[in-house]
Amino acid sequence: MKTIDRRDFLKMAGAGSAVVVAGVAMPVAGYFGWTNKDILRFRAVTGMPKAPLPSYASYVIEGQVDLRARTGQLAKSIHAGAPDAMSGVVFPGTARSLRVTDIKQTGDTVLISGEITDKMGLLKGESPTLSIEIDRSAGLAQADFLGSKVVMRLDAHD
Amino acid sequence: MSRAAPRRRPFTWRPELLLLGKTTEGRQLSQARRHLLARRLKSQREEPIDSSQGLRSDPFFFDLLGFINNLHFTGSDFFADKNVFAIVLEVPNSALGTSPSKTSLWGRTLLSQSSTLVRDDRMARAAINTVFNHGQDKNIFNSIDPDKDLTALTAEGITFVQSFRNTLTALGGDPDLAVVLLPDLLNYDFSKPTGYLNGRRLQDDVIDISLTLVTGGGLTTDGVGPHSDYLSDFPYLGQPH
Repeated sequence: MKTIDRRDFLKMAGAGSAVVVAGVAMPVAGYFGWTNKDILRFRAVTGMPKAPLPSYASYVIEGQVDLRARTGQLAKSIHAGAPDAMSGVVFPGTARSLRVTDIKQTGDTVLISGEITDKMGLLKGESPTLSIEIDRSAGLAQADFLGSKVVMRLDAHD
Repeated sequence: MSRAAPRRRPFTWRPELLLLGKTTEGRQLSQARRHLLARRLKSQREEPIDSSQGLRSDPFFFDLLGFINNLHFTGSDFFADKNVFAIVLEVPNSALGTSPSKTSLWGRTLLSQSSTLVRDDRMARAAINTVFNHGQDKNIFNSIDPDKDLTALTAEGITFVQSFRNTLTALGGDPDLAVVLLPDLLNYDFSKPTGYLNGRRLQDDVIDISLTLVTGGGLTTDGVGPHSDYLSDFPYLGQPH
């Protein structure tokens, strides 16, 4: 049986939904940075849905990749709350771990491909693979969300 | 040595305060006292009042992920396997007053903070705050009572009515619906057949009705229908998963 905390989500969403508590509050924006010259760490965030509807959830893709070895780990999830009020509350069944399968780097752009490590319980329309294109000069990333292309924000990270 | 029984302080209470566990004076009632008062209340009524609290199957049905994916619905019911902590209260229509057409309902959730009950949110019709209010406006809306809905201002400094009008226009709906959706009250005329927007039954497809209204018919369904685990008797919500 799933553990559900509806209250946290209601506060942010103002309407019925169900969530699980995933831990501490998260930073409100994305980031990217380097731990050494080959290791890229990033978090990309976008609010959902888009205007004119108010965002009341945040789609998050984060990870750490070794550009030279073309390996790494990614994670994606949907959090309650818009990016400027994002919480650690994750919609149940939306958190995924991914293994990096390929990395292509062209100038300031890094294209990272990955596959979900546990393919049980995929959502309807959810691909078992993921590609995220990070444009470091623009501070933006582009990825897929249930078949739709979404632009995500990256912010500088020390 | 015998000890004198503790003297109970007198208090007064109203039935609507029972769920809050408070006396009219604002004092906290013990769980045992609440049960006692609930039984007394029930015995005084010609028609029964029942209440139930606990984990139940979530009755709500909605393609939530399709909604946040900018209304690209796939007919996947996000809530099909979810539970909810439910408070179910069954009261006779006679408890709602003698003028059926003037009955309007809204609920609020209060959190206990430093021995004070603090408003956390409020709700009447489905998805009003969710769909129409952005950012901090959700908290402002939650903090006011429905009688302020027509005059209160958003964080931007416009009225909620104007904000709703703007969103309705952007979604392709009729902006004049703003003054139908506000104040956010669930009207219930118990002399007429029940069904959203006259009250709300568990099986009412409030999302389809709302989508049709706010998009001016541009979208009519999220492709998800009612659950099959509702009970025919109290507490009506299905057994938890």
